[in-house]
Amino acid sequence: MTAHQATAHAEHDYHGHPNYFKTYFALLLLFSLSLAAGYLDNILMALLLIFGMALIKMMYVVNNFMHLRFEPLSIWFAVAFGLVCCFIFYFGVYPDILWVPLEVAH
Amino acid sequence: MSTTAIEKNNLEESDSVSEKWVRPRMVDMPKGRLAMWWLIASEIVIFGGLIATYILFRLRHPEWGHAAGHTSTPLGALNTFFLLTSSLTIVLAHDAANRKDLKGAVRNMGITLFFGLGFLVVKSIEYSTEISHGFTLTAELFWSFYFLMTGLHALHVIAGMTTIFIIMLGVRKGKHLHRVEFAGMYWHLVDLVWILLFPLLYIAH
Repeated sequence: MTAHQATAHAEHDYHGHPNYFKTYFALLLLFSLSLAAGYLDNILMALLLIFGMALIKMMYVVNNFMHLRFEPLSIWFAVAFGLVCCFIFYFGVYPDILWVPLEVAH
Repeated sequence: MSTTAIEKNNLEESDSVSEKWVRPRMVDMPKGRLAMWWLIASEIVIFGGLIATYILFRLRHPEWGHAAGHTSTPLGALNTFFLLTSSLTIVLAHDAANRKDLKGAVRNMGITLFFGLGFLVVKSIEYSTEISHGFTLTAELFWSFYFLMTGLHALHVIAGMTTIFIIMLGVRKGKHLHRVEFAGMYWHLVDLVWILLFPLLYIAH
């Protein structure tokens, strides 16, 4: 099989997929719960729930709509690399941000 | 795998990966899909850096919670609903394109465009309300972040809609059906970013 034929074949490949409607309703449920969590009195608990559910929603979209779970592991690493860069950036500049005078924010 | 087996596999819509399924290698991937994943990885760095910076400042300045209280949660929630639903319709368009169902693919892409347009309309209503109340780009650092992040996101929505529209014209003629998946991946990225922006800017007061 030539490289061109392999590419053409791969363009039309297809794998089984999750139930998209089930994923969609799960996303809507999580979305409703995160809205409700905004009314909790315990701020720390509310933040944990809101951002926890946001992360779960993102995983649902990435795995079930973008089909990342069917992709090669190297794609996972490519995506994770971007996130690692953000973490390095976050902790790299955190000390500087900490010393920005409050007036700057106004 | 024969065509019949593939179709049967599609119809099963199983939640778990088939036992016979073997994870593909990168060399086996379609070039377009590979390119899209690299594009998405680069976008993660762009938005991730911006969001990380916002979180850094937000933790340093708890008084921003007061400014965040002026954003409209109902309108933000409506936009979240629009994007989540459009993510469903674009993946259904991808599924229809795989089954060579041109009408289904075009219909679902059209619905996606409709929801994308709805998102932009709601966003413009929000912007005009906020600006009329004096919350402009330079009013406060929170609002600079707000307009930068949501504005950049809105530009991505416009880029996604343009791409989907162009691909839809080809799909109507039965051309380049595999591109529906690539447009869909980009659209899901737009959805992903909003999933994180919504709690950051609207709910977490």
